[in-house]
Amino acid sequence: MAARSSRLSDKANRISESFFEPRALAVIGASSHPDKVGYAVLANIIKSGYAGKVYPVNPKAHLIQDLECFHDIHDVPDPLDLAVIVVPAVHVPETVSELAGRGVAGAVIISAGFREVGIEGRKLERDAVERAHAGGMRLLGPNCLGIMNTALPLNATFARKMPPKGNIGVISQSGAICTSLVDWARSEAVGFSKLVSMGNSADLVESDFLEALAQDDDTRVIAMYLEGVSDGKRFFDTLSVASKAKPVVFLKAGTTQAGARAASSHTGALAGSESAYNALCMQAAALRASSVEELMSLSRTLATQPLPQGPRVGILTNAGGPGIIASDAGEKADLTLAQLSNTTVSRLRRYLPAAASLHNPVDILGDADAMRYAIALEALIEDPGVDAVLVILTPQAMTEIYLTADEIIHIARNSIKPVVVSFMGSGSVQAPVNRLQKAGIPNIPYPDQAMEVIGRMYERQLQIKMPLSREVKFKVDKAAVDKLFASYAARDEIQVEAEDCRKVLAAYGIPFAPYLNASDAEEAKKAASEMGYPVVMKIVSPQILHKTDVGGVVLGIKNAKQLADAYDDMMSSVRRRMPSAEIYGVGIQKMVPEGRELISGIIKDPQFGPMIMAGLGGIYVEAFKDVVFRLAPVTPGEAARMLRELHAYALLEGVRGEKPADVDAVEEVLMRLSQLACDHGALVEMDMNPLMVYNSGNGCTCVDVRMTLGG
Amino acid sequence: MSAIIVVSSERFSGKSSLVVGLALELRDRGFKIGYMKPVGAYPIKVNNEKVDEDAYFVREALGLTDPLTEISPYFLTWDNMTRYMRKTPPNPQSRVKNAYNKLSEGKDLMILEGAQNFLHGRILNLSALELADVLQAKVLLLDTFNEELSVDRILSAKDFFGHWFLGVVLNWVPPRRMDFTKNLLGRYLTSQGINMFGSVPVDRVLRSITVNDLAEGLNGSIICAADKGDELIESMMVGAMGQEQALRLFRKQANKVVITGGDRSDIQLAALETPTKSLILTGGHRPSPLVLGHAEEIGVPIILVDYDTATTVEMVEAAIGHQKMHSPKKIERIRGFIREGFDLDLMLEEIGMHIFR
Repeated sequence: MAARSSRLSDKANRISESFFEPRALAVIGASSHPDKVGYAVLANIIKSGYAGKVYPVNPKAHLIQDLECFHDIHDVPDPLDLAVIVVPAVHVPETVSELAGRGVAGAVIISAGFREVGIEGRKLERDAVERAHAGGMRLLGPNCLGIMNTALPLNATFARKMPPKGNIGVISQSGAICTSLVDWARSEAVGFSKLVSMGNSADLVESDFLEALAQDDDTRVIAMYLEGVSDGKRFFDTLSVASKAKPVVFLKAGTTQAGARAASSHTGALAGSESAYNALCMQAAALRASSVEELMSLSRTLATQPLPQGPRVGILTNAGGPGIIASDAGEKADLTLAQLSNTTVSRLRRYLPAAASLHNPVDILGDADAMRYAIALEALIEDPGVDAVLVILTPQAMTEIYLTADEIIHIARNSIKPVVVSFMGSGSVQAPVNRLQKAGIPNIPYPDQAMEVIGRMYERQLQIKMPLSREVKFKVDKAAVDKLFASYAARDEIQVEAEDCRKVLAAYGIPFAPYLNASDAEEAKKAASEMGYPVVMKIVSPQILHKTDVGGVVLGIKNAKQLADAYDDMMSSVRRRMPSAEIYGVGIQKMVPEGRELISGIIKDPQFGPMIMAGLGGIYVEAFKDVVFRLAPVTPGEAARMLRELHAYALLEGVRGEKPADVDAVEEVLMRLSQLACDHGALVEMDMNPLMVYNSGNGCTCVDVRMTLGG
Repeated sequence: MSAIIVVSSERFSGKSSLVVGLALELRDRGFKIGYMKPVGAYPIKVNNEKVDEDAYFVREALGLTDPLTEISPYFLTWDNMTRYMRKTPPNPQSRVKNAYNKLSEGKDLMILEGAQNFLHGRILNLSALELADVLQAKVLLLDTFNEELSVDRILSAKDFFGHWFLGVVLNWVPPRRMDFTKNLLGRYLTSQGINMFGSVPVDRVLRSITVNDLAEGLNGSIICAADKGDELIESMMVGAMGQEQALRLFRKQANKVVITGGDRSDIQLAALETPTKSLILTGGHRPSPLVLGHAEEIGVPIILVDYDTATTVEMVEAAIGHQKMHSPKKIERIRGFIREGFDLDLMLEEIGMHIFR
């Protein structure tokens, strides 16, 4: 058995031991019929070269695939670490009980016919999990492909083949994606360390295996295919910890409306929103791939190459066109073309033909032989102004494809800077490319995609260097808001009234324009004189959502006389236009001075919990959709980054001689909102629009706010 | 024996509910209560006999065994109105009086339910005022609260019914106007010699419909969580947008039913994530087994209907608007309002029944 790191948590340790490194395992439902899953699984275990003991269990056979078969789990003589279950769903709960009774630590349930088929299946699944837990056993699946460990080796799946041994750990919520990745890995010479197919995730979920792989010494990069997560909060925490240890690249499917619809009927769970997954990546420092192709090319590059220490890329090419394509892609990926040093340029001049381009991209011309590639590559790697090198090769008449590949392998192997190659084409370059890939030099056939991957590698480098920022706790009146929200729950009401919204803001130290409800003109007058003119008057009625449309908003009321007139006008106007609306009265709000209008608020994501939102506010919210999200809690660092991600940040900095806005005050509001969201899970939605931001030093004020409760 | 007749100025104002609530509360105090609705409006067929729908449910709620033809002898549908205009039926007053005599045998109090408003029934000489005269019944007005109209309606009702006028109960009072009705309005009416027995606030539960009733009205089948058929639905939402928009919208409404297509798993899951009492899936499409299992697990019934979404929406709208009160939860709710907000002692005194206490 491979030695395991002592950093392993107990839980991850147990999962690793029983699922990845079992000393003995049983296949329940093993079969001698080649068309049965029970045959394929047992055959794969044997073929993979698994060195532990294997016990087929089947009541109807004596010998299966040359192994002694046991009629009953209780007949198996030795202690078992793992069981692979392939019996029909109805027998699974009972099988689980028997295994748990024998003290088996884990089981992989490959059988289908559970949650995915309806109510009865769901009951069976729950029953199996309860029985497992009662006996201290953990389950992977059901309805999954199985599990692989190339280092042991063990292939406890019904996939056709094993991937090569390597250091990418794969976790997938789709068994079919697993089999495709394995097939691809074999043809592209990409090595996997472990592969886990999650199936229905009835017991163990993606976070469990993420935790295990984060601590697995054989795994250098974790690649995940996700359709949703089982527990967003836990996934966030696990991903944050895992990403500190090694890069985690994930592909989240179902990003569009059509995709989300497809995913929802596949998983039966509401996936988190796109905004939540983007925020998750940002905050947990994970890398999100946008296609299966990127998932694999990025994982494989991360697994084989060092990270670039900076954004400066040197491009080496034997043709002009691809060099230009790569340059374009580099800029889009936030990379820069390295400015080559004089030393490098004169070194290149000495060895390269006069027609060659000595500046980045370095074009060593169509007749470049392997030696020219070698000289130029060495020069680029040694230039202190270069952080990464992309080598482009187009197969031309004089090109020494094999020799060039060998030279690159030789040089890149000893490089502390990443080298990515782009041998364009597929026919004549195929064999040399295989040689490169086997040597751990990733080939990405299109130079633009290769640049994107280098860009993502640099993103990883930035994530690692990101300073740690800790959540700040403000002194707030949590109890007051608890009490207020409880009163809504007691009345079974979910829309928080305007006046109560202000109480919540006050309790959390978020500045707002003074506001009071008034049930008649007398009270309105009193409220206005209390807060001081000028004031705004708004109709208060549960049926009137668009107040302005029915004459329900009057701005800039300067005195009592104007207020009385405005009140009468408003009542007749509203009564005429909405005779059946129930009018509670009016709200009187202090007029605030003009400022820069932002929007900010809270949206509870079904998987990840509260998200804090900030964006360009006022009437432009819908038009520009310039908003950013973060999962709560929001740290000072995240609050600052949020605002800087907005296009509207330019407005906050001040355009054309404007003074800069009070960004610090807005950041503090975002953190206070985050605390409010974390303290009160019942708050499912909150909008402050506009949040009026004043010049630096003058703070900001919430003008209008809405809250929805729901738990 | 005493008699009161509960009348209203508008239809659908909650008379049947008030009758059931009053009757059950009085019965708890030991009184024997009879019930009659001389002029009905919306007939349903029960055992091949046409009977007023409300009358049928009140009879059921009170567990009475009197014949339906006596409890609800007439109803004024359009069809009947035209018939009565062609030929006046022979003496409806005496038919009502006879039925009333039988129904009131051995009772301490007869509660009569008026027709759609207190003028309705005049064509048969059975308007509320005529019934009060014939049956010696005191008139209790149930007024649907209106800030501007209620006071005048109540004052005029007193003028209209004269010595038969017992007093008023206000219904559908917005929570924010409860104080007003109890204080300023109550004092004012008392100063005008009008008994104000109480006010009942707007209540979402009373407006709601059960999942079972909704399914039945839609000819739909409940395919999971059937044990939650008694849950009450207060409102309706339609889902035809993306998942994130759906989630935001669905969060804004509690105790609702969501109508969407059977193939929209994303909308269905968004609805199940928010305060939703039931899902109606249109077009006869069954949901994904995963969604079905989830709904069963969290106890939200799914109703499968064959209608398209537009038709279903129309039907559900009509059903929620014209709610029935025969769910045990609603009856309990009504009784609660009467215990808290209705001055029963005052009423008993006014009809001379306090001496029995």
